Amino acid sequence: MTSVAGGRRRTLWTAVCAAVLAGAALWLFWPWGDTGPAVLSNGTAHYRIRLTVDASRTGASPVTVEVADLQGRPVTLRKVTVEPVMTTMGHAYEPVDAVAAGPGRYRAESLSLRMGGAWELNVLLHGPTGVEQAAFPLLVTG
Amino acid sequence: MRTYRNGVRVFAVLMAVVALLAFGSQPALADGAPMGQDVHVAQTLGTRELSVVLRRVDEVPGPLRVDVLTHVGTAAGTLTLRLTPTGVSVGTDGLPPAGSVVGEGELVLGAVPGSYGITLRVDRPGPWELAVDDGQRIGRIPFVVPAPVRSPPDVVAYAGFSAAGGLLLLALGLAVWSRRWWPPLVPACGMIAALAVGVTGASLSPLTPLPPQPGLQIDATADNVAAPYAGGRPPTTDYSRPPVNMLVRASKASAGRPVDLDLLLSDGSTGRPVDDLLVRDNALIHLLVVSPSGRLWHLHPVRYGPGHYQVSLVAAEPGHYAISAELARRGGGVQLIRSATGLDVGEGLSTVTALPVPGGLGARNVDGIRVDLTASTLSAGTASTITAKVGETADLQPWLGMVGHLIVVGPLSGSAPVGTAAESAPIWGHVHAMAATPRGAVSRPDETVAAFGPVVRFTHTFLEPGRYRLWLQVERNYSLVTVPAVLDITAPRDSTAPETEGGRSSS
Repeated sequence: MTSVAGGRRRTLWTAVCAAVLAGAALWLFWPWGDTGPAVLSNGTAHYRIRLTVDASRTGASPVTVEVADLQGRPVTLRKVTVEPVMTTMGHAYEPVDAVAAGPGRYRAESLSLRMGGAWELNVLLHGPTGVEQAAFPLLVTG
Repeated sequence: MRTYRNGVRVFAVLMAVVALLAFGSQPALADGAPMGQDVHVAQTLGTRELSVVLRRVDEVPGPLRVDVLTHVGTAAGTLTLRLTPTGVSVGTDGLPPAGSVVGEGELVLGAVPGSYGITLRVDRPGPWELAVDDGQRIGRIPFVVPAPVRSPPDVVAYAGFSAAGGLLLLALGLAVWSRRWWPPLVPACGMIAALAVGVTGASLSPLTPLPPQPGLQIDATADNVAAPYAGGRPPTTDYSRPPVNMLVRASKASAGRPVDLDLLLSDGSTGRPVDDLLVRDNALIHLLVVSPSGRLWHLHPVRYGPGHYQVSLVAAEPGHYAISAELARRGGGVQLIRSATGLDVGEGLSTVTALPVPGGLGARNVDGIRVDLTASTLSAGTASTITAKVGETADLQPWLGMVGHLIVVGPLSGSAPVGTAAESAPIWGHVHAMAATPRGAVSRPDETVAAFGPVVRFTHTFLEPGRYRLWLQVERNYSLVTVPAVLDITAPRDSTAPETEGGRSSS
């Protein structure tokens, strides 16, 4: 009877240890943060800017630019342009215009990020006080 | 009996704990180690030549000490300093957004040359911008406030050894107070496992490659400065960037009046403004201007905006001026950019006569100081050492981190004015005489240390024979001393000149 109880306990301990090890391995090797949207904040002298790239992976991805003034109120601009550049490669790609999609919200449906690496997305804000720009470094995974 | 046995155990445990505390603990030096170093940036702001020193930031949020060193001739007045964080971040941490001014102060410069300081406050690690405003011009200096960073193996090692220590105490405690034999074994086994983790982390730590350095190799953001290991590595380890084109725009230039120069830097591939210059040899840009009669300016244009630098000078002589710039981009080495257009200065008010042709080797008086120039062999293709003795005592101050600078331009064609000849000269060299640093010193001495010289040595290999213009620059009593000279470099004696018959030299 005792030996049967001891055997059960041993099995239980083995199972618990295996579960802990499996959990640790899963946590260690889980591909964290590869997929979600990249949300980046920056600002200029007159604006706060939030840039959302839906998927920071190689390929085309929608991009949203939210612009507010320094008090946090949405800003209406004449034009918002996103210029993608790979500085280390010396490549500039075709700029895309983001169209108004709500108060202070501008969206371009297809921003082409053609290869993995360090990108710089330059956001140009054409407002009443002139053109202001902010750069958003972005690491694109392949 | 039982009480006595327990007493012995408690004593043994206490001794073991005391021994561990006494011998086993080393101070965690990494925690208190300095995070960065002082940044020295020379700025030619209007008529003032300033050295702006951003002292090392030891804690964030915390104070940032800014010292501004002035020189002889720097006008007294007030500078407004403004601090702006410029880093992109993922989170919203309740701090003022990037791009807004978070610190401002006024710095009163006295008429006496020396160091004038102010303490501002930085509230986050990441890239920042310090605007130095004299009321007419603004120089915006980019810099990075570092964060204390531990590599993942270091974190694992710390965690492993801490856990091992805790488990050891637990095992000892259980050994004393437990009535069964096996409970102490559980934390003891855990301690061995934790030790193994700690030792593995510690042995992997020196093998872990450094992440790309934000600000030096890759564009800095608030996130990659705070957690450089977190963002993943770019697929390349070549961080160099394309070369720079420089467009020089001058205001209407006439002799004797200040000329404003706008330098527009653009990327050689994309044509975009270049806004990633590094502070190299204590300046973002070293601009060299040579006048028609051979006067040299060594200026440090201020960054007005992305890819836009400004400087002004009083061009006393009419004629053509040659311009070159030295700069370094993020991730790459230093570039020498020679303006193809230079600067044309028309006739003006000034009646300043042209400088006489300077002498060669030998003694001369410059600004009341005796300067003696000597040189080893002066033949092309061989390393020549040019030695200058400036005054009699060791009272030179390092300027731009160096005891001496030697600008070499040539070979110059015979009759043309120096400015015109320098523009087409095949070689522009900038030679340094380094200040010796004491062993173990964290940083090099700055201008406040007047203990160098009087002998300054430069070694340079002249590629081509011919006539060269040289300008030797040292700082003394907070005043820049520029010593012009002309040197004739002879053809190498044992050269195998291709025009020699048979392609061989007989010597």
